[in-house]
Amino acid sequence: MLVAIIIIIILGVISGYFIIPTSLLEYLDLISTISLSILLLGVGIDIGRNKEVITDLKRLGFKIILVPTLIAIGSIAGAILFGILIKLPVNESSAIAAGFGWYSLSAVILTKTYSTDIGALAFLSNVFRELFALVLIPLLAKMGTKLTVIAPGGATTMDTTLPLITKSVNDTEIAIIAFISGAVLSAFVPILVPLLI
Amino acid sequence: MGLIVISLIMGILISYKGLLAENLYSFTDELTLVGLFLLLFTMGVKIGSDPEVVSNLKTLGFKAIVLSLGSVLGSVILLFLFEFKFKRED
Repeated sequence: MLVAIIIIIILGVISGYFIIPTSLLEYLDLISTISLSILLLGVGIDIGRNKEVITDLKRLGFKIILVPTLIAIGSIAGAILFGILIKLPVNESSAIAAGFGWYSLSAVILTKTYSTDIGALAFLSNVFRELFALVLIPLLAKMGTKLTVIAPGGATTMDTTLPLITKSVNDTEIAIIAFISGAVLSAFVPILVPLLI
Repeated sequence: MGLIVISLIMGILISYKGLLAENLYSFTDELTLVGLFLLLFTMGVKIGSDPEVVSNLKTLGFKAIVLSLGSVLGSVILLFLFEFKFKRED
């Protein structure tokens, strides 16, 4: 999937750089507006479909919602602090961090509603987050931590990094918490990114 | 911004209320994918047609690593503290 995404972006960059005349660029805005609403409708349908997550949340209660909430707070606070070091405004660093590793969605929302370079930065930053997660998950598991293993993956712990978590920590409960945490963080992305920017 | 919220809420309501026939869900997956690919392409076009972004790509890469490190460290530290406290209470 990441390979397909990168190829499509590169194709876009090449067309934008060499082929597409500036007179056509205004139509791009219309296309991207329509695509964004289609995409978010689909994302919403996916969120509403996770009824099991919603019932699990009701059953397991308050404690389990703490895990994705702490991951969200830690991600955003960490990015704001590190963002100050590279002189990035708080709204930009926090919105980029609120992608929680879901690089495609955070990048297209920021490109569309804010600016092209911050969209590109969100894409790269959230791809790197997933890469760091792939390295850190087995490492944290080896150190003997359990819940902490869920942290670096962010929203990806419901899909791409979930197999690695279950393999690294042999504990069904952690796998369930990881899935729910990823689902909750994924639902946060389309809400928090536009809110923070 | 308003568009994002409205589309999202409509989607959540449609599936949560079960307004969509079960066999249509694979179709919405494809629709989402088409929407995503179109957006990623237009994102690429915007990057390519903006000489400032093209010349900034190297610094963007560096900034991206710094930001993702901040996010990962922040979330790991908070969850580690939580897990530690949790264990002592047990």
